[in-house]
Amino acid sequence: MRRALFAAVLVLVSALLGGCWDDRSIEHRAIVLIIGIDQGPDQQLMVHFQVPTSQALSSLSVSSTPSAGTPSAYVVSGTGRTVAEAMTQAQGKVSGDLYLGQTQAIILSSHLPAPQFASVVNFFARMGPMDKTAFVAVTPEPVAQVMQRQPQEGMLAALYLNSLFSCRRCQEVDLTRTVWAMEMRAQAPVTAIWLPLLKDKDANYQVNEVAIYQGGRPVMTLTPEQTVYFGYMINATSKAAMVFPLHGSPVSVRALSSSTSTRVLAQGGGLHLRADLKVQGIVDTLAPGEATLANLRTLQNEVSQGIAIQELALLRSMQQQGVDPVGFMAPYLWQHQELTPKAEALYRSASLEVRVHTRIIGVGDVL
Amino acid sequence: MGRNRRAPHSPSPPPQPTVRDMQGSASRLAERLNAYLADLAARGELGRATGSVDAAQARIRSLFGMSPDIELRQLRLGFDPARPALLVYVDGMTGQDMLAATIARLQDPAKAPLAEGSAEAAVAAVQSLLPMGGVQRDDRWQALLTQLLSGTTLLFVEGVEAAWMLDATELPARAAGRPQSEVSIKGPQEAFNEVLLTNLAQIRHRIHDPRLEFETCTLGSYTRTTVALAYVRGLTNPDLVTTVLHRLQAIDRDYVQYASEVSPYLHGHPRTMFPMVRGTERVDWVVRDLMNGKVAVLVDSDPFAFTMPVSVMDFFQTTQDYVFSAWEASLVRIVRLLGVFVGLYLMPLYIALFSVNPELVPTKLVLTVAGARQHIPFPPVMEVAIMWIIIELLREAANRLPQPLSTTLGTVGAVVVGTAIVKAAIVDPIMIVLVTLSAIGLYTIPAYEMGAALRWMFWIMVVGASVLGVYGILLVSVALIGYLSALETFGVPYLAPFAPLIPNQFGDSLIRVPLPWLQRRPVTNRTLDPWKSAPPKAPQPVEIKNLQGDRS
Amino acid sequence: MLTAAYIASGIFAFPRELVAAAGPNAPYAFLLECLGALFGLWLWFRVNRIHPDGPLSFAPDLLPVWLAAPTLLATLMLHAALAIIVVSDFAFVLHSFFLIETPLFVLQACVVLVAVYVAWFDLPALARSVQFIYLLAVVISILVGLLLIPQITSLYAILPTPDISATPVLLGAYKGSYLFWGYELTVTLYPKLHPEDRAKAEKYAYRAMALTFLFFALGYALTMGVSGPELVTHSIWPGVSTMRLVNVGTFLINKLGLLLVTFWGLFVLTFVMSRLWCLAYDVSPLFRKFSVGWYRGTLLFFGVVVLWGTQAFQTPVHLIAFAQDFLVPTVLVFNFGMPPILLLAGALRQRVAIARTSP
Repeated sequence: MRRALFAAVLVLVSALLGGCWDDRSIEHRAIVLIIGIDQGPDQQLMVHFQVPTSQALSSLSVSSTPSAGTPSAYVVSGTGRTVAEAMTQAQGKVSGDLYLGQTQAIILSSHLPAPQFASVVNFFARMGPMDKTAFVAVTPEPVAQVMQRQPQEGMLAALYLNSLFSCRRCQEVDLTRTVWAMEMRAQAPVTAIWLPLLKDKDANYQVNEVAIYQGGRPVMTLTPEQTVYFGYMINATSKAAMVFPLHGSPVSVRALSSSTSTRVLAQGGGLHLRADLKVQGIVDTLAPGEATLANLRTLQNEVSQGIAIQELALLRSMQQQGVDPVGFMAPYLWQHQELTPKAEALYRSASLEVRVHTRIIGVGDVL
Repeated sequence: MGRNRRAPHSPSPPPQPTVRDMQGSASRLAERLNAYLADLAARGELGRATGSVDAAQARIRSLFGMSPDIELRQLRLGFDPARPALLVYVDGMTGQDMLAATIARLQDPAKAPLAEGSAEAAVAAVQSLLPMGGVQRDDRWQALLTQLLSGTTLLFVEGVEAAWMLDATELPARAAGRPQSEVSIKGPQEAFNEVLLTNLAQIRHRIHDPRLEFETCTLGSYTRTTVALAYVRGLTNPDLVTTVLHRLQAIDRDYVQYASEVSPYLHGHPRTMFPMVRGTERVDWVVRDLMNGKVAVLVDSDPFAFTMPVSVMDFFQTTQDYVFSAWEASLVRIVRLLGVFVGLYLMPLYIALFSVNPELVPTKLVLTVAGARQHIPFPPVMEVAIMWIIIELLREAANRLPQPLSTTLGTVGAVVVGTAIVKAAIVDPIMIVLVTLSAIGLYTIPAYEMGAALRWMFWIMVVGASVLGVYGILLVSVALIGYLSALETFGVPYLAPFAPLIPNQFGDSLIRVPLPWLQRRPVTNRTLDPWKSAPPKAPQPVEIKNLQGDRS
Repeated sequence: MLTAAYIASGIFAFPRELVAAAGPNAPYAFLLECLGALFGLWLWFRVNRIHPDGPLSFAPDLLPVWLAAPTLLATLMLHAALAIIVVSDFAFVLHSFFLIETPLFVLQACVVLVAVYVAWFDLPALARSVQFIYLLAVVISILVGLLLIPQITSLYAILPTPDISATPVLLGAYKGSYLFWGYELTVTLYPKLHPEDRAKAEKYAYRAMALTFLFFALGYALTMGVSGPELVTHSIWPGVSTMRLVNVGTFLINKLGLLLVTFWGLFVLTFVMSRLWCLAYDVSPLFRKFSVGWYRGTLLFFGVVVLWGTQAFQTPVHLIAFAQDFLVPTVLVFNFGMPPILLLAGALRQRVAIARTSP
């Protein structure tokens, strides 16, 4: 009995050991750092996979920068009707296994047609090993070109994007968007998805605009100024600055950030959308002797009014387009699920209100 | 001896004896038979002494042949008439001064009282002459010989049908030294040595209470080694004592030299790779365990005693944990457990994370490792194997060499081999760091014997990691926990106080709380007296007055 | 000892059905579900008390054989089915996120193998390991879960709605009732307790269940708050998806959440271990065999059965369909239907016995 059992266990164990299926050492994996998705010919998708070169990897491990001129990453591309098909094609072009578990960023072309955008979102949602915290950005430029860009700081593009997006509160507006957030919004009714717009400017990446998507296509693009105000709405702005005239000379308030709460109130037959912004900032240019209570109060009012006017204009324009990237409607619809089919009409006809309350929380070391 | 054993298996036929050999053995047999016959004629049985010095001498001679260490010394007692006597002792185990004094007194006619012919009078006379008190007599050869071989001097007197067993023992022993294997910066620095009696005295020296008891028994049909079982009456669970004693007495072996030859018979898990007794050479450790309601087993000729029953935390506790503050002790405990964790999991995790589940690791790290591994021809599992073999070889070689050489070897091995193997691109530099950390981690365990078990477990982990990644490590860990939970010694669960959870025993496990709070003995030991100390009282503030007066 | 091993049946799928069916009423549905589970536990303890000596061996004593045999069979099948769905669910999770190329069968076999190995050492070792593993997993889950708090974006989805409607609450509680499957295991466990410990054990069991409620409530809040209701209803494993967002950049293993999902394997293992143990013990009185060898034999047999059963599900879709359409009603009927029958039978027997003893 004991021997038979032992033999059975031995057979089972050796059967299990017979294949180390997922045991694939990392140097045999083509570590995909950035996935770029562009429109291909004949309504197809063109998918680019950026993989670091072995020279770049070696130089990383001995902590030296790669010599100028040598590319730190190469791009393999494939076309297909779906991402999966394109990936299969691209796989044929590299020796290692195209491995998506470490993907840092996904760059989508803003020219993707709606069904393709939907299929891309769907693909990433179902792709088990894909990291849900990979960053997403859209670009109006050819994706392949954006992916070839070598950041000035000399590091791998993916690491550049990684440090750009993972450092919260490092940029004026934190435009981090993850695959997961895209997925989550894609499932929700009315709510539009906003995605950061990645541009190639002066041989470097520039991210200070936002594209708002609804139904799989970009409905509107916010200018850098609008993006800052949009950032207040979604609590993403943290380093904004504003300049006002005070007694004739310019005064600036920096490190402006806000904490916003939104409410939906039913009024008669329609809805009233209200946003309460609590803004705070630090005064940094104020002539010595001018930091008086009265002046500070005036400044606070100036900031509040300035922001309120801009916000209202921004919200109006978004309302006209019927997009709600701020997410006013989601809590209301959660409680009133029967209204979901009428959601867009309700949103378009709702009245808007923005309340801003500003606090100056620092004046530096000069009275 | 009523032994039920198979005859030893002899693979080749014994060599043919020559005629001379046969003659020699026949004459030895005849000699031995004569000696027995003399005893038989005198007392009608073989096992007892006859009162004839010559017969005794013949018998001993026949038993031991020409063994140079058995000394026989014929005397004539200073009685009137002088009575022949015989001193038998083992040279080298007997104190020569004591012996000389005894002989001098026995032979001195001035001190000898007038003795009549009767045996009783002779007994009384000899008894009064002996310089030491409490001397026992016996007439059974079996007992006499055993005593003789453990260092006792035998005195046969003509006409007395029993021999005196004089305790003039002076065993060859080194002085009680410092513990070599369990070093502590503070606290007592006393280790056991190879002589059982000294060891028992060392324990006795620390527990001045008659309730400290030693039960002894003799093991080994050849070695007749004395094995002592120490416990504290009224504290240690009597069932534990009886069980251990029964198991001790049931041991049937030819020889016993080491404590580790005894322990597998006692704890009931001879197959397990995990240590089931805590071996120690520190006297204070044995005392501490005794006071916690355990029993200690000491084997003559082995300076390592062991205590039972154990749970896993016993292997992570040292003297140092109790002589320093609770903070220091807790920190050190945590570091040790961290060491185990690092030693056991670091390399399997490396395999799991960089060959099966790289998605769990930060990108920069993945890229760094991928870069380091660019030109390495082997998969991580092979690398681990290579490095581990090197480490084990170095370690074993260092064990074999004398101290100064082994230090050199360690340094040379680590530095030269480490650098060269990386230069040769056989192993990546990260692996060198990991293997060093793992090895250091496993060496933080105070009990050496635990290390071996963990080194085996390490390999099972490695296999698990390379097949199923992190999940494989998890499965192996669960199986390990399951196995350890099933281990018990004398009803004490091995994983106590974690499984089963015994919260009031946590104070001396992962951390060590201040000593006044450790009021209970471990519940798992089922002691008769569960409390170690009274609950601490807040001390009354006392002002220390300046008795010298104010001198200002 | 009676620490529940029922977390595993729901931890991956929770709170998908609950939210899908109850919508904003989900918190109430969850409460109702908890109360239902408590009531079920209470019922089973009643049953245990009337006949504390044998596990379903009481069935032939209490019920006529034609009723007892199907009861026993139902119990066995239930245990096996629960083990099967938990094993295959976990294997699917692993297969989707970690070990894509490893065959499903291997993943399932490894779970069953380790579960059988630990159950091999019988109850004391099993209980100790469960205690150890279970606490470890709960503590780690909570710690990692707390890392999700900054990620909560849809706070509105956590708060209960002010206007309650009954139908969604009931439906949600019904569909989500798989969360606490497993407490009927107490029947087999009960006779193994020392009689003097039983009252204490009952108290502990209730307490453990209350803690489990808290655990799941925390899980509910985090999953809903972080993923939002839409994603929750669309994910196969909402909890897993949510946990995957935990990404601590400065740590050696930064995807702590994903690591945690492997740790949930601990729940699965404890669940399967106790289930297998139960099966082996429930079957022994049937054949009147109580030896260690017999126990291990049956354990192995049921291990193979469970492994074989898991092959019935090709994808999580099959699994969910089976669980929702068949298992949920069956288990509900079993958990709330069996105890009253047994209690009634017990009461009748007692009356007959009293009538017999009094002349």
